Amino acid sequence: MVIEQAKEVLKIEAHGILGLVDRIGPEFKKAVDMILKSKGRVILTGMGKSGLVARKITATLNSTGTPSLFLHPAEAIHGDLGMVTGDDIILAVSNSGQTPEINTILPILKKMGAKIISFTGAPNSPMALSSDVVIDVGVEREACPLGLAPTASTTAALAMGDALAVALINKRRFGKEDFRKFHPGGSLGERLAIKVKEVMLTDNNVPMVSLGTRVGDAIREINAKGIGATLVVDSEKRLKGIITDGDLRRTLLKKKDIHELLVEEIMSQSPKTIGEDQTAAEALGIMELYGITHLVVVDRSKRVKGIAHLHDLLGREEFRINGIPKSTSRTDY
Amino acid sequence: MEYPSPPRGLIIDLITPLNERGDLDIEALERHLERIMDHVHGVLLASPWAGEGSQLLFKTRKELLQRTMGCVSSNTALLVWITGHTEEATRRNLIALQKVSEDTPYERRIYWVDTPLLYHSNRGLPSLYRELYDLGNRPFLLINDPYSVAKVRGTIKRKNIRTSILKETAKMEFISGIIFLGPLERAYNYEKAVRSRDGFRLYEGDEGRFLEYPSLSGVISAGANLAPEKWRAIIDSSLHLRETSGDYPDSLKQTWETGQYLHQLRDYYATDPPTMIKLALSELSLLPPTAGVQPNDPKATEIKKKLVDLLSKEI
Repeated sequence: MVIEQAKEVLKIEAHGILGLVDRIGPEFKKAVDMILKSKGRVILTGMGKSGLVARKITATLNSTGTPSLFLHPAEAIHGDLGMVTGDDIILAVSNSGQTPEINTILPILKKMGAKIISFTGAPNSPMALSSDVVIDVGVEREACPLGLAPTASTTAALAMGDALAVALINKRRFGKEDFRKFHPGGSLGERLAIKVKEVMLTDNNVPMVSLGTRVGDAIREINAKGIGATLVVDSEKRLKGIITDGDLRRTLLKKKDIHELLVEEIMSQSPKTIGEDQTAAEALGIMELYGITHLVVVDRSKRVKGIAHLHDLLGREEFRINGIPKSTSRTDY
Repeated sequence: MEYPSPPRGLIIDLITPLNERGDLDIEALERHLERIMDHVHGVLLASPWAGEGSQLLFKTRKELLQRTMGCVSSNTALLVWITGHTEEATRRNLIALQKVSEDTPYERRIYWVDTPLLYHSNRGLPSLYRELYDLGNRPFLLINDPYSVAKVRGTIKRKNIRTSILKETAKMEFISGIIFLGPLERAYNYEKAVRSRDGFRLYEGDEGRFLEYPSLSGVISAGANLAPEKWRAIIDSSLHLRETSGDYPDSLKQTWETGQYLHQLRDYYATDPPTMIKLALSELSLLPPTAGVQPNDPKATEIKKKLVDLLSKEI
């Protein structure tokens, strides 16, 4: 009995959504065009479960590049209307179209110059009549006994919200990179939230030479550790400088034989540093700011704790050179 | 020509009060209508179920329409069952009832209701309705009732209106809706078939199922003869005719209890709705004793007692 009921509920909800297919028409296109042309944001509003649907649509729009806010209709008349401007688009969600809180604020919003789109199952309702665009999200049957809770109708409104968001994505040509940008909570975001000490190279993996070392030996160290640079430290492992591939190239342009030079003669004396408890995101920010790929990790006494490479901050699969995935071998760099 | 859509909401399957001679009991009808009128969106007259339409005399059907037109408000839709034993009898009923509606000095929203498969096959239904519309000149509602068709025409192959036929028929503007009985699977197909028609109503003909999975067009309810206020409360809740954000969760609890009450009520009268409903209303002095009812039947008496006990708690 329970299984049969559950199946029936799912069928009713599925048919509710399918019922929307034939009703998608010029009004939907009008809504999409209106949002695309708008210089403002899409402001969702709804009460009760329709309010929850509106919140979800808000989240979907935000994560797909359409700036969006949720406005609680009851809070609106107590000051929150201040968040609305005449450039905004209001998207009101109410199955009955008779929600008093919404119908109270719509005339005010119209007066402010905002355009109104409504998602409703009652296209002749007061809410629909106050709207510039009416999208019919009505269903023929609810799945809940006695209509105690809106079921198929809220599912239908939610699905229509997704349809709107997807249509906007395609119109805006919203790509994978844009999606990443709006999803710091995704895999990349998670990676950037970890501390530098969790991704830095340590101990023997850190390329390091002492003051007084010849450049020829420094080149061998760079080659051996394979990250395109070596640190220069004093006898107490305090950071004194860094020699990168770039430093070597620049020196070679001036002198033919650099092997016998001392590292302090060609090193950069103020390498950028970071603390080991700072986040990978902060490290990435510093790298972006200075256009570098390494950061030296030091303690308060400037003693070297490790070295962080862009490669390790982003994870190998994220690292690209000219759009081509970087080989997993560090020595290819 | 544009036709107003039939109302969404509660359509009462009105019992037909008869006196001892089997004639329409006008006083009882008027009293009963007065009791239910404020709670319903439409009244179905002489239905084949609680209205006993198939057993009513021709003159009783006419008188029922005439008297009801005088009692209801202009906002209340009147749905009138016109089906006869044959196509010819249906045509005759329609002509006579149309004349009654024209002769009565009240303008009312009337919809003719027909169960076509009781006298006709699926083939040619659109043509039939074009012809009937010329005679009746008012919008029609169809009934899909495979159970009644099976009883009356057991040998007929198709006991449901075919979906493709409904789709074709519903293209005519004067076909305003359908009262549906049968499996939900078919209801989904019907919904799909008539989606392109704005304002087309799919009334649930099975009260019990409406309480489980409410059709948002509304329901045909025999139980509304007994508990019109409670049915109206359920309709308002199920169809979201009003926003009821107040008193939550108390209002939810009340709705749940009301639904359970209506389920229980229905269990008592479901075996023979017209008889049991009239018996109960008579017992509660809401209707005079009705001819044709056998109050001494032990089984009926027992059910009547349970029904009356349940109703007494609420009335």
